[in-house]
Amino acid sequence: MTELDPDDHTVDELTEKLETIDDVEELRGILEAEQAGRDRKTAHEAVHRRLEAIGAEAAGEGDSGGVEEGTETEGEYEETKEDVGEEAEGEEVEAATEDDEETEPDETDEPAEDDGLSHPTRDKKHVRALADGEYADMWVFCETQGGELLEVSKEMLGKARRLMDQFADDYGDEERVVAFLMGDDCEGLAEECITYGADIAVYHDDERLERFLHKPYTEISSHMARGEGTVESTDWRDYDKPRYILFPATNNGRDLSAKVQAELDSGLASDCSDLFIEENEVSNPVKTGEPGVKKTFEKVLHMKRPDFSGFEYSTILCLDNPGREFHPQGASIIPGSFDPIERDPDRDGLVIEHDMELEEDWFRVEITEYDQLEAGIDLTGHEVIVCLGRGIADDPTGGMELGLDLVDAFADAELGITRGIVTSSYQFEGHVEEYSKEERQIGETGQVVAPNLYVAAGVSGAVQHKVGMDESDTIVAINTDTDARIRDFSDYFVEGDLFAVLPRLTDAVESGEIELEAVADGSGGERDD
Amino acid sequence: MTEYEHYEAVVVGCGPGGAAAAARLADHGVETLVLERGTEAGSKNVSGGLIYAEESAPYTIDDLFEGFREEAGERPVTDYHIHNIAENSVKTYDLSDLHEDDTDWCDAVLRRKMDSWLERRVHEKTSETGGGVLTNVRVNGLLRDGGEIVGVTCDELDPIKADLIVGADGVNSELARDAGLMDWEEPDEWFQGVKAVVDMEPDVIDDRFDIEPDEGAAHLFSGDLFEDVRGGGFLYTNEDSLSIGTVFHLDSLVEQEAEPHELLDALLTHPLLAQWVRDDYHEREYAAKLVPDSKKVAHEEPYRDRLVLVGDAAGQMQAQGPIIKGMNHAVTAGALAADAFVVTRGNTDSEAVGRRYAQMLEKSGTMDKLRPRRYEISRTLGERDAVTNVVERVLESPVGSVAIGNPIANRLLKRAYNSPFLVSMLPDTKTGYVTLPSIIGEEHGRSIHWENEIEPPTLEERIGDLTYDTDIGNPHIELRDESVEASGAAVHACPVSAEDFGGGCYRSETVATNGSEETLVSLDTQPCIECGTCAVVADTDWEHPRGGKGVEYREG
Repeated sequence: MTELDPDDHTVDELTEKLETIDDVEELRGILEAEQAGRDRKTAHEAVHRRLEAIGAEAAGEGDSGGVEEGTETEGEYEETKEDVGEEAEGEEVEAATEDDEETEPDETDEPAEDDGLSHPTRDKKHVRALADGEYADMWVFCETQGGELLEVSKEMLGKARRLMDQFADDYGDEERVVAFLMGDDCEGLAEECITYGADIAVYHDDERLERFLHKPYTEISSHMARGEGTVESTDWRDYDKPRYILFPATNNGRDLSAKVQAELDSGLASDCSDLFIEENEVSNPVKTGEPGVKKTFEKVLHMKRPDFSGFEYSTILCLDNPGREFHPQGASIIPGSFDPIERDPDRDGLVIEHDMELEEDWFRVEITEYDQLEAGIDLTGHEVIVCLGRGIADDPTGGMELGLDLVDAFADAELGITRGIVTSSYQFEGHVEEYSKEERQIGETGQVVAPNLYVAAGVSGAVQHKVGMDESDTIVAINTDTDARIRDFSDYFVEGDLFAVLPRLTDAVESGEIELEAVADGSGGERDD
Repeated sequence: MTEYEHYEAVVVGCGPGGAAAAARLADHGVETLVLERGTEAGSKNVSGGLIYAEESAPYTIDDLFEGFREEAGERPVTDYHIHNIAENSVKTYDLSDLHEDDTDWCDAVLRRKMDSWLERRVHEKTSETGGGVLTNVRVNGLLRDGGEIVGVTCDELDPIKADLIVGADGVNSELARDAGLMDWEEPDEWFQGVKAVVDMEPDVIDDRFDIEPDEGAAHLFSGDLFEDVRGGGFLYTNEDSLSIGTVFHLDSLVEQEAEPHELLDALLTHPLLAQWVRDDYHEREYAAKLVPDSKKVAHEEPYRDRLVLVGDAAGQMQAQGPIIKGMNHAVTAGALAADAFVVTRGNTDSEAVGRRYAQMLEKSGTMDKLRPRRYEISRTLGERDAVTNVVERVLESPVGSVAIGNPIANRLLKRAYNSPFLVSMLPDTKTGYVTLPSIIGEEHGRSIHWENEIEPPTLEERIGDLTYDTDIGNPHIELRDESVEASGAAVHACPVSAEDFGGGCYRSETVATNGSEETLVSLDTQPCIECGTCAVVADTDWEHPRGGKGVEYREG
């Protein structure tokens, strides 16, 4: 028999082969070859154990180069830095995602006596863990509401598009962006997903899916992701599970992400705000299968998430173990983190109706009632905004009435107010009080509007107000104070008391006639137009 | 009790006091977590602008932070003058002797630059002993277990327990108030300072102040510039800017119904300023802060259970006539608190550290600087109105003016101003701040007729130039009583409010209700610069904004 070259074998294989060797010299030869070659500590141990077993070595003798029990566990945390407070520099904290409870396939020591406490998940069986699986594509769960895609769904599609385009550039493999969604009559939304960057959109229609339900949504998502179902609905793909998967970090998306990823036997980085794909070199023995050995994982999704309410960022990686692979690498995404791509109705893509039987039992939870929260007042999108400021102080209720009269005179107008009014102690009478609330405030801490016509009555024009309205096409200011700041950014400045000017303006708008007598030609200040 | 995160020491606030405490704790190997509510240390902090290193102090900032003067400071003060002003007549004294007394060095500083530099050093040091600095975290109170203080509670994080809690949370310390050690009741225990940081190229500064690039000037102003409001002004040179400000007794501001920003403008537009600032006046930042009057409020036992207070939080701000020292005492106190913790570690009595800290403040002479016994004695007489009036009348009589006006008196006056002993005895009355300086100005001064071209910005523009991250829908101050009697003083005393100005925090409004009219005060916290004035002069529930929210100073 030729001498065994340990370099050709994994430690597991080596251990097996060693069982057949009884020759001390040969074993020592293998040990030397290992030392000269890959020099793996676990391999040393395996040889020493065999030597012990055949009585050539006393127990423990060869341990000097071995690994103390417990070192592996430390290795688990090797990449974890628990620094606080570096958020200004945005220092990355890289952490292994997988929980350390699972038993390594090649771990030789039996765990200690089970006390029923320290290993709460040790009985967990993973059902569909794969080794040497095929993975591809980035899947995006597109949440819908009221028959429309949520904004975050479009944002995730946009990010997925950019990531996979970069992926194609970096690796030369064209992998796809797959949108998946479900609901009642959502084929149109699936097509919408294509226009926002998906290559494939898989949808499942059922009238019972109109609203989010844990069980059926989880079952359908996992069914889709595993590629189960009829040939017609799955022949576009040839992999076991998605490579990456994204969910929105909305209330429903958070629920679904956890359940689907558990069902797919992978991990989840929740509430992420940034994503990128690159290789990663790790030395964690749980991941490399070998202490002291570095291993490079390709195409790793780096998922950045804020910790401590944003004081610190962690980058979460979902890496395969030697005997067990974790795919899809999954994250839930904080809404607003990314920009959608421009909607392109001409984008090509494949829309696929997913096919599966939904069990009656999954619909035991029934939504009997729902309520939509008041959306508040939307001041944007109107042609005219009439805004009242503290110039109404002499008679707040009367001023408000005059403002509302002018609003009514226009076809599409709304009433806005300054922060000065919201925070004032003015006593408004009942019928106009509702107009004095924060929901109508214009400015830095209120709404930002850009109507065709902005009438600012009794508004001084503080910077905080200006940022809420200076994109308006035409700004007309009414003020008794000709030094008021608003004059600097008004197109027309009416010097006068709003209590006198507003009624005349209302009359003029209603009658369509106005008698103008220029009292000043505006030469007092420079105007752009 | 729930399991909370535990650190050996938690330091609240990363100004000079907190930084000194944290650095010293870390030097002793103590696991120290520093919580700072600003988005970066310094973004909430304002000071007039001079930090001293006293020869007699047990610790100075450059002892604790190597490279402080090069990295965090502006210009050293090499030139120190006081100007007594009576209208256009100004008498200037060189105060170098007073300034140099017990002074190793003294640098002008801007707090954003200084404190953020300190924060980075503190983070380096504390992370080596298992802690670090967390910004954007507002500590909102004390965590108690069975009535005993055992930690802190925050807006952003779960409560944190600690063996030592250092309250270095500034003049409006919420911890000091939670512990019952300080209050916000008496306006006469406080000063209010407002400051403008003004752009100026380094070579222009060198030229106009007649100094070298590595030198700096400090000028103090007193007299009738501010009518009858007790206080004074200052001007310090930074590397490429000037810090110009005014500091007034808060009770006097309230009494005289003075507008702080107008008092600052009075200084800015005085002919005397024309020699330094021309028509190129550009204000980078307007800022304000309350200053505790240590003579009255420096706490002699600034501790409770495991909590110790340092710096402004404990009232450790020395302001006696022309001597204004705060940051150096905060540094000393912070370092002493750390030392006290280390020597008493293991002592089962949780107040052992506080007692030791108070002893150290006393023994190191710090407490005597903050609360001089000479002042305690002289003020009992000097601050009574009757005495003031008598002295005033004598000074204003021909005899008094002659006495101060003769040439010998001039020499004596200079000596008097330069005597730390006499200065520490100046009672806080109109006499010291207004009458005496203006008589000096009138009798000894020369007339100045320079044309001042400075055009200070309006209050609206000043507010508009500040950076805010408003906590929408979450005002940090609630007005408890909106009547003029209870809260009307805030309309003028608040540095970002004014009578007849609708864009400020406090506004008085005439409101018609059911036929009768009354004047009410309303509050909008958006322009708030978190100085704390209204907490003292109005009836409010006053808190700081959440971490990272509210005003963000760029200069400080």
